[in-house]
Order: sequence, then structure tokens, then C-alpha cells
Amino acid sequence: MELNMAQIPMERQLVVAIVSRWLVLLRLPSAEGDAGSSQITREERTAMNQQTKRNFQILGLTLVWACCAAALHAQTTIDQAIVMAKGGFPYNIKLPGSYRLTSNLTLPAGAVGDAIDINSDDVDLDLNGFAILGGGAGTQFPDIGVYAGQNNGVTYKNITVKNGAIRGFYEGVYMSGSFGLVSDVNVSGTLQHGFFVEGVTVERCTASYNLGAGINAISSTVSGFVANSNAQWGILVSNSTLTDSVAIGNQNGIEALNSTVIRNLADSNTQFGIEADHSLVGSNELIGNKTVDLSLSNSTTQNNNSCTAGTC
Amino acid sequence: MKLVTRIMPGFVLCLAFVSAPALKAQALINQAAVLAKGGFPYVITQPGSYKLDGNLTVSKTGTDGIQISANDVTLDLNGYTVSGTGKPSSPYAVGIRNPGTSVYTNITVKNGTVRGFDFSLALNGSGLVADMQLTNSQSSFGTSLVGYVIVRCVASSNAGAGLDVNESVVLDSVASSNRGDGFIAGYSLMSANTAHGNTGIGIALTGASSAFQNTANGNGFGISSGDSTSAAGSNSMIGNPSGDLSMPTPGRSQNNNLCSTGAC
Repeated sequence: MELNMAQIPMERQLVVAIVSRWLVLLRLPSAEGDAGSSQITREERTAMNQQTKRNFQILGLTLVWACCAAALHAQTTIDQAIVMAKGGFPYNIKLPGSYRLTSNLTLPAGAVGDAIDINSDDVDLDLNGFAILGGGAGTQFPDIGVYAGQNNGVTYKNITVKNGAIRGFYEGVYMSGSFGLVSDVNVSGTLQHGFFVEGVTVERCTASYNLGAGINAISSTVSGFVANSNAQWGILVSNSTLTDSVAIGNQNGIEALNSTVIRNLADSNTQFGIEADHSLVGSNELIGNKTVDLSLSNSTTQNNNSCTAGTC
Repeated sequence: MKLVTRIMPGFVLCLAFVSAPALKAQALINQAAVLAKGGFPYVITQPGSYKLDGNLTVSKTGTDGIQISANDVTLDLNGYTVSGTGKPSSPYAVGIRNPGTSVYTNITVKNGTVRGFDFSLALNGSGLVADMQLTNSQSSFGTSLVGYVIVRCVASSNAGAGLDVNESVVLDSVASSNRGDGFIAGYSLMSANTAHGNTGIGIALTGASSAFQNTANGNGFGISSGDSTSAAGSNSMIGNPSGDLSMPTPGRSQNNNLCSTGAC
């Protein structure tokens, strides 16, 4: 089968290229070459030895680089047994790298802290379809499901949290100032907001049955978000962009300040569909919101929105 | 008395010559300078002008950033940030404060960010706080100011209230996404401010305070006062799930406001 290099990831192509180069550099003198080498002078032999030494040094460095690269890309698995063996919750991520859940994580009854704290730049946390369960009830809730905020004066960046569910915390995901990404995460049953994000991109997440807002987003980009049946607000945004999202069956659907709100659906919320202040609100669909579909204040620009009674 | 009258102009002139250079000199503050002086808190004990020329980071819990123990101090953060640990501590850590219960007058704090302390600011006396970002504080009250004019400040993402003021004037400021009330104002005037996305009350008025031309949309509650001498006029309060406006004597103390259901 012919090898198509275009199908191989760039990193592996690089390794293949370096190893190929080494096969050439390390090639020992052939029998023919050796037979004819009786005329080689001492100086030439010394030069050859030095060249071989240099080649081995470079090979060593290459191997070290390859090992480091492999270590950096190694994926750390997290499951309930590993967390408990490491001293229990919160599980603290202190090094860059990829982390992946291989089971649900369940906090013990009466726990008050976070489930996972991220204290490093460049972390990719894949919940891998599993859930983090806080088990909060009444007014007793553990703190945050996944916390990636400031710690000891440092705000970490390039953090990704993706692909799983979080239930029963004070808040589900707290991510602040990280230039991070939260995608495909469902948060439900929190005492406050499902998501609290600042300076983050949020894609295809859902939030339901939270007692505050589904999401409270500051200076963030939120798209493809679904908020349903949250007790106060579906989606709260300030200084943010909200697109292609849905707020259904919340008390207030979408509440915006200094934000851009485009192509969203607010349906059957018990008070407002969209309430916006100092914002740009366009091409949204607002249906059956009990108090009013659309409420704008302070020079908010609106265009091409559709309300229950028609264009609005 | 005559002698005093005669020597006073000369004395004042002398004082002016002696103190003018001291007042004009601007002390620069940065992390290295603070550590060289023994670490945090950096203590200001002389009147004058102080300016940051780098960020300051306090990495020990329960430790203040800057203490101001003098009158007539201008502290310009120059766009830089004073950071705390971001975790609650006991005793409280404060970003910029007057230590103890002392009262200092004519203090200006301006143009920068304070984040991650129990309180961002705790100042008592008189002065100006302008163009400050106050964020990620960990206590119930965020920032405590008594006797100040506060303009163009933003208090956001605090664990408790955004801004707690007494005997103060707050103008053109924003309290956003705080996990308590946005503004708490006692014996104060609130005008042209915005409270948004706060879990508690957008603007909570206590003893004899007035709120005019503010916007308190999308908070747990809009504007609320428990004091019969408070007043609220020409404010907008929309989309606050637990209620938009609550004044103890509605007929007398509120006028021309806009609530979710219309005029209120």
C-alpha cells in the first residue's frame, strides 16, 4: 500500500523525516568502503569519528525531544478511583496537557469544595461523555464543578473543557480570563448559574433547571447555547456576542447589556423573551413569552426580529 | 495675635517652598520596588503623588496590597493591576485601604484594576475613586467607600456585592455579574449608573439615599429601599425576576420610573 504523507498528522511527518535523516547520517561504512579504506589517513579517520560522535549527539537530542513531545501530548486519565487515591476532591490539574475522564466523578455526601480545579495554562479537559455529580440539595451544595479562575494572583489561559455533564453544584463551570473554550457541556441543577464565564468562547452547551441563570457570560462569545427551565434567566450576557442560541421556558429568556444578540430563539419564557440594554438585537425569533417578547432600552438597535404578533 | 498675623505669611511662604518639591515628586511603585522595601503591604505614609509603573501581585493570603496612612495622597494605577490571591482569607486582605479605623482625607485612587482580594478598596474619609475596575473580590461587600465621589468605575464578578458606599456620590459606574447586590448605597446619591446581572438587588438603597437615571435591568431585584426617606426617580428596571422596584412610601418617594409592567 502506498503511503500518503498528506494523511499523516504533521507531528508524525516531522518524526518520520527526522528518523529518515538519521538512517542516512548513521549509515556505517560498507564492506566495499572498508575494503578500500586502507588508504584512509589518520586525520581522515579522526574526522570520521568526530562526525559519527556528532551524529550520535544529535540523535540523542532528537530522542530527548521526541520523548518530551510524547510526554507533553500524553493524555492523563481521571476516574473516581484515581481521584480518591490522590486524596479526594478537588482534583487539581497543575500541568499543561490533555486530561480525560474515564468514569463519572461523584463527590461524597457533604462535600463543600470544587470537583476539578485547573491551575495551569494549556489544559484540555475532555469529560468524554461522563458526568461530574455534586449531589447538592436544599442549600447544601459543593462549590464549582470545574473551576478555571484566578488562583494565587495568576489567571491561566488556553483552557478547554468539553463533552460531558455537570450536576448539583453551586455553579457548574467557572472560567475567568482564560481565553478558553467550553464546548458540548450540559450543566443542570445548580444553586446559582450553570456557567459563569469571562473572556471565554462557549459552543453548543446546554443549561437546565439551574436556580440562577443558565449562563452568565461576560466579555465572551456564546453560540449554539440551549437554556431551558432555569429559574431566573436563561442567558445573561454583558459585553458579549450571543448567536444561534435558544432560551425556552425560563423566567426571563435572554438578558443583554452592551452585547450583540443575533439569530436566537426565545420561546415560552414566563416574563421576557429578550430584554436588552445598549445592545444590537437582530434576526431573533420571539414567541409566546408571557410578559413581553422584546424589551429594548437605552438606544438599543434592533432589526428584523420576529415576535408573536409579527415583525418587531 | 499681632505677631502671629505678621509671621504667618512668611511661614506659609516658607512652607510652600519647602513642601513644593516634595509634593511635585512622583513616587513610582512596582513589584521590585515593593519587594525591595520588605514586601506587601506597600505603605504610603506621606502626602504626595504615587504612580504604578508595573503590575503588583500579592501572593500571600490575608495580606493587603497598598495601605494609605496619610492625607492628600494621589495614587495613579496608570492602567496597571493590583492582584490578590483570588481566594477568601482571614484576616481580610484588601487591595487598597486605609488601615484600621483611621480616617484620611483628600485621597484619589484612579485608573487601574484591583482584583482577587477580600475587599478591592476600603477607604474612609474623603476623596475620589475614578476609572477603576474592581473585580473578583471574595467577601460579602466587595468594595467599601465612605465619603467618596466614585466615577466611571466597574465592579464586576465579585463573590459578594459590587460596591458598598456610604455618604458618597456614585456616577456613571457599572456593577455587573456580582454574586450579591450590585450597589449598596447608604446616605448617598446614585446617578447614571448601570446594574446588570447581579444575583441580589441591582441598587439597594439604605438610609436616606437617592437614585436617579440609573438602569437596573436583569438583576435578582431592581431597585429596593427599606428607608422611607430614600427616593428613586427616572430609573429603568426591567427583567428583574424577583421584582423591579420596592420603595416603602411609593407615592412620595418614586416618580417617573420604568418597570417591566410600565411606569412605576
